[in-house]
Amino acid sequence: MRPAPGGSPLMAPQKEETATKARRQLLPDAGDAVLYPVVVADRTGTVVRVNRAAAALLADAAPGVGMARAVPAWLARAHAEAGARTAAPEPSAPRSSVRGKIGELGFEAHPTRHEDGSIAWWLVDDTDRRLAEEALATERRRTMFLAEASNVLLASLNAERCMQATARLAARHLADAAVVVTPPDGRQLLMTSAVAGREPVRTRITADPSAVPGLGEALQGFPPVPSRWIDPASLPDWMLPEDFPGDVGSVAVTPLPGHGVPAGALILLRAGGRAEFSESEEIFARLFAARAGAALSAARMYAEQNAITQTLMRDLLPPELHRTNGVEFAGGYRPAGTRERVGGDFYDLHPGGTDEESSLVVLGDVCGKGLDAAVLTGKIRNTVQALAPMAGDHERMLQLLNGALLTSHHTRFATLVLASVQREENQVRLRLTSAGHPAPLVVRNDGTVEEISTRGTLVGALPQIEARTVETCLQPGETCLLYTDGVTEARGGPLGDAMFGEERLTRALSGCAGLPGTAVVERVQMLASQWVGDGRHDDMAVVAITAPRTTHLSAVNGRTRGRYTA
Amino acid sequence: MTALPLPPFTVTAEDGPGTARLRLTGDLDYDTSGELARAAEECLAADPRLADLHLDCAQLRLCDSMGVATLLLIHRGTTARGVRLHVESPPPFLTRILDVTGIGHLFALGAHGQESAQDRTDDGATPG
Repeated sequence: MRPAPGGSPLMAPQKEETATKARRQLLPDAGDAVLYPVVVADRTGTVVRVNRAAAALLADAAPGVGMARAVPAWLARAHAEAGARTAAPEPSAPRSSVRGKIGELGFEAHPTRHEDGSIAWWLVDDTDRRLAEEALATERRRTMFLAEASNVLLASLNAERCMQATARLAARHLADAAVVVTPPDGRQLLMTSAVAGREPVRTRITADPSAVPGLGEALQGFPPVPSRWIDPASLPDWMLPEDFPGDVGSVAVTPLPGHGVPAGALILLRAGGRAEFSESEEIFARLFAARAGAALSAARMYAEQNAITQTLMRDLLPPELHRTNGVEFAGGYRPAGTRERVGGDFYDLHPGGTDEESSLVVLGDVCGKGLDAAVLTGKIRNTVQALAPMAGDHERMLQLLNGALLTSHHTRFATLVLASVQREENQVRLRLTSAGHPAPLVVRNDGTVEEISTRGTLVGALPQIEARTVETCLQPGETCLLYTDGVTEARGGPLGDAMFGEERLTRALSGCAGLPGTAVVERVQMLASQWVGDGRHDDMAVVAITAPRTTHLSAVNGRTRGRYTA
Repeated sequence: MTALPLPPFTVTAEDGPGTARLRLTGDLDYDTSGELARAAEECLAADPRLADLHLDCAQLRLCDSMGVATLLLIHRGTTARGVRLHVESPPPFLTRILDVTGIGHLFALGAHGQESAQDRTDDGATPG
């Protein structure tokens, strides 16, 4: 399409000309009536006209004066740049405005281009808008900082790292240096201090927190005292980070509120010569402190809980079993997936004092999980150990154990199986008693798997219990397996929801005939684990009691009854 | 059968004269057993002349050790008040659990409707 003569195809040329003419006429005649300051300068950068408002605003602006002298640099530069573009084919093209300050006020300068190449700069005061924008930007920065702080602080459940992050963030964004103080542990104060831009330093000192004004109160969770009440000169030396630049100009002490109990205090330090903490900054510091305190408190609680679990775990982990008094013992324990939970399965071996005394094996499963289960497990194991000398009568022993565990406030129970084990010649004699526990299985040398028909009541919940002891004998190479229902009730398989079950266990065991106990334990654990796959499972505990394979050595000296190689 | 997303566990109460019935469906385990204990406690508290408490287990899918502990807790409560506790229509797995743990004799294992008491091998334990 051919453009219409004398203008762009989209704009009526006559109209544009009329508008420019109108504005040009307005200036010399009515310019003083215009409220906006207007400065007109020509192509060479010389001021041509200045209206009254502009003259009042810009003292040096007068016709004939160079723009560089008449107006601030930002406007002079904009004029020079606009002048360079005068050769542009379409003078009517919209020009972008520029912004800058004149004295204390902010202005937006909108250029209007005239045909002779001169430009009129209309100055619009936008100070208020600018202030509002600045306030908004500050708020945005603060919100971003708080969001970032939350991310950083909550990323770790390690109290030490949490203190470092708090000190580092506070030093970088709120002050020149920051000190995080934890509530005193005995007489010692644990401090983590950071100077902006440097790595936090951790110190433990013996000091009185009340030496710092407001710190004692903050550590107890009382509201902070206003920063202007604290005399920086009164700060004790131990409070100042070593590499703090120069003197302290102002101090703010803010409590770090935790979950219910104070998590510590945050001390912000600013160097002398820097602005003091304003009220809005102190409020903002408190917002930050609330986040830091919550994170610190959570980290500390987690650490405590973890320490408790560790302690319990150390004490509750089943012992390593090995050959004792001529009998092979092997044990395997696989705790339920959740790491921080102490399991409810346990086993122990209480060896007889001599080869002639029988050893006692106990394997059990405590109802529930977590701390309650752990406490009950500990109680049972200790009681059984104390009762071990009475192992000659399993039922009596279980009744005493039941009495010791019985409490009126819950019915948490345990099921367990007791095995008294005695090597006789090359055989192993077993007395087995189940107290509400899955019956032990014996793997014979010919591959048959025998379920020992011992029966009994679970312990810890009922006033009266009963139990029936069954005796059996293991030939060399034969194994008796004690297990918890975590094995048989493991859910998995091809469809993911079938139980491993006793039948599968029995079949697996029949393939283990003649294997050493450790191999049987490993095989059962492996099969159950494969069955479960990645799925959830309960604790699984397995103990194998095996009569070692032996070779009879005929009497060497003709008097003794002979020996076995193992 | 299509596996419908069933609620993990529900207890529904039905009252009759001198008798209460709780219908259990789903999984009775560590997370849900508290609900059953509360429901049973409410039944016992609601009617001082209650003679029989029935737990209808026909729709029960799973019962773990906490579930067993809860049954024992309810048994303790009913015994103290002279109420008979009936575990009705126990699915095979429940019969097995009660059998292995040696506590089956505590619950008047009632057949509900056509289903008879499972092939329970009584070990001769007498009610305690």
